[in-house]
Amino acid sequence: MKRKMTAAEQQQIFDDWVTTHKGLLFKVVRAYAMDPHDRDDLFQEISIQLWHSVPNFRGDAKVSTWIYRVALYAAIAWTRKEKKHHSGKQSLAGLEHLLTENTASTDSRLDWLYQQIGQLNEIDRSLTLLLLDGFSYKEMASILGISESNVGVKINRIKKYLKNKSQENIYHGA
Amino acid sequence: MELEEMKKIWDTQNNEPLYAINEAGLHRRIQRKSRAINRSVIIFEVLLIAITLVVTVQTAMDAIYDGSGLPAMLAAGVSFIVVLYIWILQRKRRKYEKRFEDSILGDLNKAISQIDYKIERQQTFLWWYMLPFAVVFAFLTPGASKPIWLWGALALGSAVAYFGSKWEIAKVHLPQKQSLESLQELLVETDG
Repeated sequence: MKRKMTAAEQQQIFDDWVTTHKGLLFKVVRAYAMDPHDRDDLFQEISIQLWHSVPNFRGDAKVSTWIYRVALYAAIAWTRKEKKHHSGKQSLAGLEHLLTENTASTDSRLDWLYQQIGQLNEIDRSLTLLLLDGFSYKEMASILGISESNVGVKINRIKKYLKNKSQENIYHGA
Repeated sequence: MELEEMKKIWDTQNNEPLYAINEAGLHRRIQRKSRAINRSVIIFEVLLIAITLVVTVQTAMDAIYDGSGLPAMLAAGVSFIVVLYIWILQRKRRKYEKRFEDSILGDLNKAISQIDYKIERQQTFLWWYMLPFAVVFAFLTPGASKPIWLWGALALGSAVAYFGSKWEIAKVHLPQKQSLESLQELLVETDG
């Protein structure tokens, strides 16, 4: 019988994951939450889900794939509950901030890209992040739990959308 | 702009993290929220088991020490069966939840199944919990001359449980389920 993970071991693995894959977590947070307060809230939500997922990780998938799945699902579920989160903002107002933005690293083209991602529905946002981070169709299908052909259909649509938006951007001289 | 160029812009984030994390604050919040989540998940079943066990033990002790005899022993037996029923349901649910695959669709299916479980339990709460106790109270426990206010309290409790459950299903569980199902559709649809 498999030994139950201790709280200290869970904490250690969680800390390692966050340290190693914080860039991935930040991308998900920025793609799904539009203002600093929401980003703090979503980062907390993702971290809690990630913490709970540690004992369930069996090593069948790469750690980054696992973290992406947990983070994306947490973000999708959080987006659906966004109205409730807005009403709960008062209770978060007195809490310390979890994320401090590094203002030195702002790039207007990256801002534009995040804006376009933010216009997509929750599922397509997930796929766009995975696409831009170089995941294969097979890996995307495994993370989302859908067929590769379904991934292909959605990715084609997203590529077309991003291309159109970029052309509009050039056309308007931005 | 082509996708390859977008990828290059995207990758610039890997060189310099966009945010700094307040790690101590994060740990504090996780500890606090995790305790709250664990409590909310198990509180319903554990509370029911605890209350029913207290009733079982109390009724059994009445039977043994106060000489209430067979009716009280039967009442204790009914309470104990209810405890076992809740425990078996809990185990069955946990076992069932392990079947879902590790994917976003799997997580969605699991969340929908958890809501279905809650709805089913609440819809049938009157039958598998309130009714056995009403029967025990009405027919098996000694003292037919119970005060009228006790009957009133029992009826009121049943009504509150019934209508409270209906309200929670309509206002909380069903909207949650619909929202998850629309996500599920969005995920599996292929023609945009």
